[in-house]
Amino acid sequence: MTGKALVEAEGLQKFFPLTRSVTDLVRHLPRRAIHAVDGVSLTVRARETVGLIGESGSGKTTLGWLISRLHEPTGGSLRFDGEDVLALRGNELRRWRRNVQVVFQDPVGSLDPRLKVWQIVGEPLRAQGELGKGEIRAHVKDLLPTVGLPPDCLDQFPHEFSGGGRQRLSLARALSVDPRLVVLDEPTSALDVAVQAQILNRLVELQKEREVAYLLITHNVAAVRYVADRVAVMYLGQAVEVGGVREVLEHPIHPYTKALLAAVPVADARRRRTRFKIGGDVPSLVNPAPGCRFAPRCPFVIDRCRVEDPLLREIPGAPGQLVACHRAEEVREIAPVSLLTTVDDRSTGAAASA
Amino acid sequence: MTTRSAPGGPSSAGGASPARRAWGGFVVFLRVLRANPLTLVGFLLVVLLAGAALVMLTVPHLLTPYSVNQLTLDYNQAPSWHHPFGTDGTGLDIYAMVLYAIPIDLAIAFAIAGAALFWGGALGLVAGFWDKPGTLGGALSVVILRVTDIFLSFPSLILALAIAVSLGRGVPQLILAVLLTWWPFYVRLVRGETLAVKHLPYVMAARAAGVTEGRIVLRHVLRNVVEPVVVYFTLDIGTVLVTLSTIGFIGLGVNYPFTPEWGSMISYYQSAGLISAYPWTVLGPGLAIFLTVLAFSLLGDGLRDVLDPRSRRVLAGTGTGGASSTSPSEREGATAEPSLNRSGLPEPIPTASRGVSSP
Repeated sequence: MTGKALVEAEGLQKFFPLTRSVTDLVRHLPRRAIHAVDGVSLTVRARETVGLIGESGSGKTTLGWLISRLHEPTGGSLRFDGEDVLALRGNELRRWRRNVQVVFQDPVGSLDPRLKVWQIVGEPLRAQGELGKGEIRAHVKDLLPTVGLPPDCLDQFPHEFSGGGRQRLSLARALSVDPRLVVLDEPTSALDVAVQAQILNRLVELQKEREVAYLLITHNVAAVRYVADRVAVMYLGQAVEVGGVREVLEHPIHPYTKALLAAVPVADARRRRTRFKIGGDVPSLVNPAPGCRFAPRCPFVIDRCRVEDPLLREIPGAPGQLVACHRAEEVREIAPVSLLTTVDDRSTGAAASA
Repeated sequence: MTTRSAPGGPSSAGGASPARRAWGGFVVFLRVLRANPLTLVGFLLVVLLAGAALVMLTVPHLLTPYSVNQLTLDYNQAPSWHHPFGTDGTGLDIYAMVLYAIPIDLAIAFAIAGAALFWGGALGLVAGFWDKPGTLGGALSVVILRVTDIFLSFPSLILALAIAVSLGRGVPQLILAVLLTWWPFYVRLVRGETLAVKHLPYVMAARAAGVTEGRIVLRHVLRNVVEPVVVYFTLDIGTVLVTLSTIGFIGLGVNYPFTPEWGSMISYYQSAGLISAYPWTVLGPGLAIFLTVLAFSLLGDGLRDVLDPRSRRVLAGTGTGGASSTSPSEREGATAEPSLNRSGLPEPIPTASRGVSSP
């Protein structure tokens, strides 16, 4: 199903510098920066779907934008099909962009309200500069049915479409240049549930037809379970666990992954649920302390976690699953339930209703 | 274009020719006018003014029997059938002079607002779009904005008066004096709009599509900035006219009666100290200023509706056109595609059957 490595990101970093305040200048404090993505290595193979999950602010979108070269990385390397993408400039970069396209989260804002459907969907084609207006219109007309839109809406404006329709337009725009990778930045989070399912199904079909790889950025674990082949879990700008979707979602090793997955609500009244609560708040991304990012909240923390950055490594007995945790072997079999405050949903529910 | 998807309109999928697009825009414009009587009044007044200006430039004797500065034998006459706005002490027909001032006043106002729009707008666009600190554009942006701030920190009318004094009287001097104080507003306006637009996701989408920065500015930023700026421009014509009149009133404008201009006319007759005895001398130009400012203000408000494709559709009464063409697929899909469990989330497909890869 999947082929050779398409995207190889090595230690990608993106820091957003903060302006120095007067008090900082007076105190001679070093320049501060938000470490949005801090040393992420990720591989996306041809024709596969990699899900990127994590809570808000974990750097998922920033990583997606780094890979699609919408952000200039602060550090690290990025190869696409073996080619060093970060070295590309100007026209070379523009030509390269046809390989990687992006579907944005906001279906309203990502379509220019003043352009018509054929201009929006045909924009990447036009930017590549190989086709004339008539050819672009014809191409867009052929493309619209593949995303489930009628071919005769070429001259309509985006505001005439529903949220799902707009996201289909976004998808058509991304696919117009036959990219090898589409970065899907929360493509369904602004849509209602029925439309989400349609879009996801369409994505799966299109992947089979067009042999495109997806990087699916989302906080919807169910969507990842449904669509993705592999999954990467991010926390505070770092990838904490990467592996096959089944392995990671069924047998999470990293304490954060365990916590994240336990937090996903499951609508099943018969199932006895234990809720796994992570104590504490998400620490600041501004010049984070050394060591594991999860250490301040981790129930399994040891001194080593606070000084030494854990690296993504393969754990014996869990092939293909990379975990960034010093105690991965020890915590591997620990179910979240045994160590933490557990809340029985049924009893609390009964208490609430009584 | 809007007209093609309108009921009864031809529904071809071919490219819109410029002529057709212009016609479509015109039809929308008529609908906006129909829906909004005040805009219609403004529009008719502007058309009237433009027509009168054209006539005064070509065949002025259609509207008045007198030439510019032609003295009649009647002086200090009250308004009558022969002299609708009366005559002044030297025998000038006020009505004729007000008419001859129309093209001049409009030209001055458009020249000032237009040049301010062009230069201020271009600077604002550059300052807004390329404002990243530490780059050449960022440095340029800072220079533009600080110079703008300096100009804005003066009371603009006083500055215009000071410049007018130093330049002397005359039409070009007047234009320059007002223009020098006028452009900073457009820098601020366009920069603000540019800043708002350039962070919208569709600009990012264009960048991801490989569109060059220059084309992004022209195609996405400028097009979405133009609408509020054109509305402001139309309203601004009135403001410029009032400023012109104020400068003229103080006596620094053009040299009436050698050049007819409304503000200077009022100033000239007022300084003669005979307003109470011959009030009609200022009534004519005063009325002209009032109507012109009113016309552009009313028109400007309606323009907003014409320029926005979203309100266009509503006004054109074809709001359901797009929705009906997208929803069938959505509805059809809703029954055919998704497999929903009770949680409302897509049913997980067993991952093993999808061939999980291992590195």
